Amino acid sequence: MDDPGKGVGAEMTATSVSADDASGMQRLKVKPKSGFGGAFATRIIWVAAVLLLLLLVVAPMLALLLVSLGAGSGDLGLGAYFEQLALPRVQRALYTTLLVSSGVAVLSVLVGVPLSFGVARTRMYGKKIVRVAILLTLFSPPFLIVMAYIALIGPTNGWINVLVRDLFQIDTSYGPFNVFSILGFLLLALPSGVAFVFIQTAPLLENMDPSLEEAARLNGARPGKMIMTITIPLMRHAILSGGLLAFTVTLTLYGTPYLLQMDYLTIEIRNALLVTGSFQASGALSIVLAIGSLFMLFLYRLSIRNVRLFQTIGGKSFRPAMLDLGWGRHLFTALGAVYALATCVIPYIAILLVSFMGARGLGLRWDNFSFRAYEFVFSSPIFLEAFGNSLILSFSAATSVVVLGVVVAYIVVRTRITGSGILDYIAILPLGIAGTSFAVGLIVTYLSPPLGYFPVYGTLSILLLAYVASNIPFGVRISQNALIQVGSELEEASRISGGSWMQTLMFVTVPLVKRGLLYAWIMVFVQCLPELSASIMLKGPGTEVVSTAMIAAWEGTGGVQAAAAMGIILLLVIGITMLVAMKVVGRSLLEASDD
Amino acid sequence: MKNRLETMRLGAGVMPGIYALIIAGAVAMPAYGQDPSGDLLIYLGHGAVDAQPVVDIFEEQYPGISVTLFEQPTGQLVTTLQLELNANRNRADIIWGGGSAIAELDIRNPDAFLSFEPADTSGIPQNLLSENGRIHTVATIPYVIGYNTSIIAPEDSPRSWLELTDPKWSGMMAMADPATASAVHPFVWFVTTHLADEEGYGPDYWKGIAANDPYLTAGHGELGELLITGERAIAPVTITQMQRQIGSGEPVAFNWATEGTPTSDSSIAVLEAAPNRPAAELFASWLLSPAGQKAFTAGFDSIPVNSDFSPEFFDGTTAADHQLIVPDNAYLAENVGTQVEIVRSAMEAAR
Repeated sequence: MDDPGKGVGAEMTATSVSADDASGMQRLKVKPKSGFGGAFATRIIWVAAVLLLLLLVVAPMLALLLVSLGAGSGDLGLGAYFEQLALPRVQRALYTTLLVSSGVAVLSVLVGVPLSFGVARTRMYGKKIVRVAILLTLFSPPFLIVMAYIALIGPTNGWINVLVRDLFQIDTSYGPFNVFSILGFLLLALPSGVAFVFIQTAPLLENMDPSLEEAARLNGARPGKMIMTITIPLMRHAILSGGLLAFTVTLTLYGTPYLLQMDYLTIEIRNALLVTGSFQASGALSIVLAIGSLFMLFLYRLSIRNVRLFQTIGGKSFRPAMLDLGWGRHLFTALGAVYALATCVIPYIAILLVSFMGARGLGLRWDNFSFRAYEFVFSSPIFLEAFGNSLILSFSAATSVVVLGVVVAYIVVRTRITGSGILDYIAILPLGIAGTSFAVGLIVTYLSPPLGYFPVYGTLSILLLAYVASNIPFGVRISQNALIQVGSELEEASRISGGSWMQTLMFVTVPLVKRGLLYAWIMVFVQCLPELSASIMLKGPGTEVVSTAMIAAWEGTGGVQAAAAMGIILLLVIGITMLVAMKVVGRSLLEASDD
Repeated sequence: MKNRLETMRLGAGVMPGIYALIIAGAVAMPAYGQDPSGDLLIYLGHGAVDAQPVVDIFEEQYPGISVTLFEQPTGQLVTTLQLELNANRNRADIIWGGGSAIAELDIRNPDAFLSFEPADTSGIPQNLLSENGRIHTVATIPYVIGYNTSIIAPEDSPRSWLELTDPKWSGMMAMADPATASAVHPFVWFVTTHLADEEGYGPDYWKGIAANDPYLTAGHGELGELLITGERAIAPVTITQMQRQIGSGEPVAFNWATEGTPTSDSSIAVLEAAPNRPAAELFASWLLSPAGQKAFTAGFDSIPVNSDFSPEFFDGTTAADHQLIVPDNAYLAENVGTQVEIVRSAMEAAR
């Protein structure tokens, strides 16, 4: 019996995937009707989407590019690029950035794909715990997790290091673990990379048409061979997409390398602003970073040229097959347990303990237990205002991103409008722009004519623009992945039956991909809440957000304990918000075929 | 009818005069002692938790003025302010933070700050008064040698800046990176330039420091975290930070360096384009007055420039007990790049 909660509605009857069909992108073969909802409306919406993306993404980037080339300084040219790239510390930062980003991307796939496969397709234990851990990883402020691991595996006095040295009688005051290292940085950045791979691959695995796998098994293929020759190839675009996201998100990390004091390109971008006050130098490094992500985007688009090959949702509803792996299920269970412990349980407990410390340096002692940090947070008008600002911005940004994302994704995937692919490139550009530099681009844009005449600078609006622009890639990418899985024949059936373009989008397409859109909304919402790199530059009087308030606490206004207390409160707020969201949706997003 | 016309003519002649009197009265009102009022926005390069007690006292005295503190590292504030000045979109009334960073901004923008004479600077030594009338030093913040008492016994703790280059402290030291933390520039200046003629100091000092593999932090916040957790047991830090941490019960203490104590100054400047210039000028003047200087003892653990209000520190000493060296902010502003490069070169060479 088909489960109506899985993928396509049971009333649809279009054909499903044809594995050897290489006809390319699933563009509508039915010419849109004229009039409202027809070709004219489609083009109007395309123009509006382009203008909006230009304003959101291109304008700040253009400002960055012009600044990097010396516009306004009277000395146009590539001098800033050569000057910066010749600096040893910038070369070191570039090397570290590429090394860590590549390492995270590869390891994320190696860990994330088995994890998502285990959750979606095996009878491992603890699936819900893994899903919760994935979601928590996405919205946990990286800054907070780094703080936790500094407390845990700081090389000199980290709690775990002290415990290990005592247990094994190691006669040294340093190590064995060191969070302030490349390996430490990589391991701290890995969980979010795994989460990105998971959210790209798990929905696809859960909604995959089992007929191909069943055919393989019927022909005698063992589970391992079936997975390698059928399942993995079908997931190729999602795996690559997840790896791409893991790479580019790591590329633009700010909070983690900042706290670990690592040589990193985003840190150099920030230092170029604060040390020399050179927008030109900062802009040059930002453009260098952007080139990296554009190259990754190019590779991604090459890999998904034949979308129909990956279409796994057609008109039939179905239930993915659970694989009986015997003792192998315990391997997946162990993997899930390690992930959940390392990314959530251990660091959250550490942060909780820190939040209840009276004096940070006195350690874990009963006489050091105190509510002082929470009293400070709840009595501080700045922190309370910051919480409110973060919630407003996150909600607004998530909604804006999903609406804009599905429109852009639809135009790119479904329409034949010349240049629709340009939207895809524009939408993904923010992935390669460090939040700090994007913020600088926004500041320059909205302090200069003509956009400077609008009251955006210094208000929550400029933060909202940064949040929306930086999350557009996720909204578009997730919407695209969701649309790719839906056969165009369903929409064609709607159009043939008399439905307009808008009616088809609203009543056929969106319901089919609503789970993906909800994933996108939640992901954007929870990503915006702890956003730091742009906020730290754009914040102003009355526009503090949670992350900047936590930084302020950590820098002295309340101390590390107050920052930890804010982190715990933030996590509670997020958890409650997600529970409410799940109730509204009507089904738990964490549920899968758990039998 | 005739009477009505005459009345109208009389009114036409009298009314303009009445209006003129009203307008003159409104203009003249401030001259008769009406205090400035409204909102005051201060760009603050220090910890808001340190400055708030001072602001609270000001607001008690002038209830018509509501002060908002916007806290950021001074370097970042200066960058933000520069951008706003370039676009004629200044928001702040006052910038209050590290003097050397503010001096940098003043050099680049000679017309940015208001030149004014504070109403009452009695008790402030002449050499600490503003030379240009634009940037006024309100307090000095000494740099001391902080250490973790759980790891280092007081009798074993370093007592001089030169002692920090001793190899026995290898792997145990942290300091703020001068590339990102402007508050450390006076310390860098002190050992690099002020003591350059003495053996072991100058650029060579940093070779010794670099050999001990110090952990460089972006700011003083993380520096404090490393110190109180014992992750790094020694650090040159500000007295403000030490006072706050000791007051919170953290296992840290500090020594005054035998060579002398460089001070980072807390300075204030009123923006020429301040949205509420009267209130801004009032606040700045008040901060330099005896009432404002006394307010620093309410919580901002620094040394007011008015020597009548020297606080007592946790070690029982006052400013008078120590040799405080106040750097030349103009020199710092002009040479910050050179200083940063000296430190960075030493660290790069030691890698």
